[in-house]
Formats: sequence, C-alpha cells, structure tokens
Amino acid sequence: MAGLKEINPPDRIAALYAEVETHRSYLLRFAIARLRDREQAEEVVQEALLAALEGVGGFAGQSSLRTWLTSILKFKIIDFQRRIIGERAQLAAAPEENDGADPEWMERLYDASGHWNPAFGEWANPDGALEQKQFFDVFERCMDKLPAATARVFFQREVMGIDTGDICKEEAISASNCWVMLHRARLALRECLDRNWFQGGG
Amino acid sequence: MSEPAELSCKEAARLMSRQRDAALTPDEQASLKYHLFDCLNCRHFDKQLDFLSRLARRYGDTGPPAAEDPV
Repeated sequence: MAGLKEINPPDRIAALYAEVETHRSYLLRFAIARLRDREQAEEVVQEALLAALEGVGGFAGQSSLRTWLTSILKFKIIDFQRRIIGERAQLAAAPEENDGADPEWMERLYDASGHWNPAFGEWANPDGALEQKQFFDVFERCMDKLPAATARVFFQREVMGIDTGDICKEEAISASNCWVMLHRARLALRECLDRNWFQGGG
Repeated sequence: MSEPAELSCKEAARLMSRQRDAALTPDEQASLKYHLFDCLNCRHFDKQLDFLSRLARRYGDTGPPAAEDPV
C-alpha cells in the first residue's frame, strides 16, 4: 500500500500534522491517567506522536484519528513501563496529594435535610453542546480543576471505560474509596459544566 | 417486602453515581426508584450523569468536532 506521503500533496500532509496535533492534550491526559506522572506522560506522548507521523500511511481512516493515535499511545505506554521497570526495581507510587480536602464543598450542595439547594433545572440542548468544539474546551478545563487522583480515576472510568474493580486495584484503593472519588468527580463536573456552559446559555 | 427506605437527595445522588460503577442491592434499587418517582431534581441529576458519560465517551472516541468554519 502506498503511504499517504506519496499520494498526498505536501499541504495535505501539513494539514494532517496539524490535525494530529489537536489530539495532543487528550493523549496527554490519557497517558497521565496511566502513568501518573506528567513528565513521563509528556515524553511518551511525544514518542507516540512522532511514531504516528512517521506511520501516517498506516492510518486507514476506518477508525477515528483519535482512536488510531490512542492505540499507538497504548503501545508506547506499555513499552515505556517495561523500560522503566528495567531501570528501577520498582516504580515509586506517586505521592498521593490531599484530595482537594474541602469536605465542606460537597455538603454545600444540599440543605440541612439533604435536599438539593439550590435546586437545578434541566440542561437545554446538551446534544447540541456535543457538536461544539468550545464545549469540549470547557470540559477539559473542568477536568483540570479536579484533584489529580480524582481526575485520573474519572478519566479511567468514564473516558477509557475501565472496570471500576480494575481501577481500584491499579490505584491501590478500596472500592468504596473509588466510588467516593467518582461521585465527587461527577458532582464537580456537573457543577462546572452547569456554571460555565449551560447557565450561560452555551 | 417492606417499604423502601426514604432517601434524601444527597443519598440518592450517591446511589445514582454508584449505579454507574457497581450493582446496587435490591433494597437500594427500590429506594432509589421510589425517590426518583417523587423528585424532579434528582431525575435531572440522573439525566445529567448519563450525559456526562456520553460526553466522556465521545471525548475519548473522536474528540471535539472540528471548529466550525466562520460563516
């Protein structure tokens, strides 16, 4: 099969490079969720993007570009973990940051009897929001505001679709701890999307 | 079977979230159903959690749509 490099004029290649670049922040989050270390994640993403650009002819266009890039990244992450384990006897667990530790924050969503306060309405046209690039920017900013461990657990569960049991094992936390973190992430993201998109009318 | 336990929104919200990660017990399911029947705000919340899942999935599958061309 002829690579895209042969059949495409240079400006098509440039456009493809630019398009690959738009997926970098997603790929970085993906790598952080797996590696728990931003610097290592950046290194692996860089390797994956270089490999992708070299092998762009292998992108058959049957899956989305993002899915294809993610599959390359997954290989690079596994590769990287093997290398690291070779280098150090054991990966030191990332120091667990205190989880934003504002127990008050969740309490303030409810009144004394545990009812929503203030009450909130339905979101207008959420499906329309999925068609807008700016909405995804808001979503990324909202994820960035979560405590790192909470964001990582949410990303693995809802973006990558990993089984909760596997996430707990990987993170070395109990199932109930995992549920608490996921619940906290969802509440915070709901609030953040509400405040920064739906209340503003998009 | 006994009456389902009455939940506050706070407890219901916790169950709605957990439901997406693990199976609820039959008692929990019954209590939640009972609460949702009565509570419009929690029905909004449930829908918003569904939407959040779809958003996250879409974010991982294709990412955002390309920026619209200026008209």
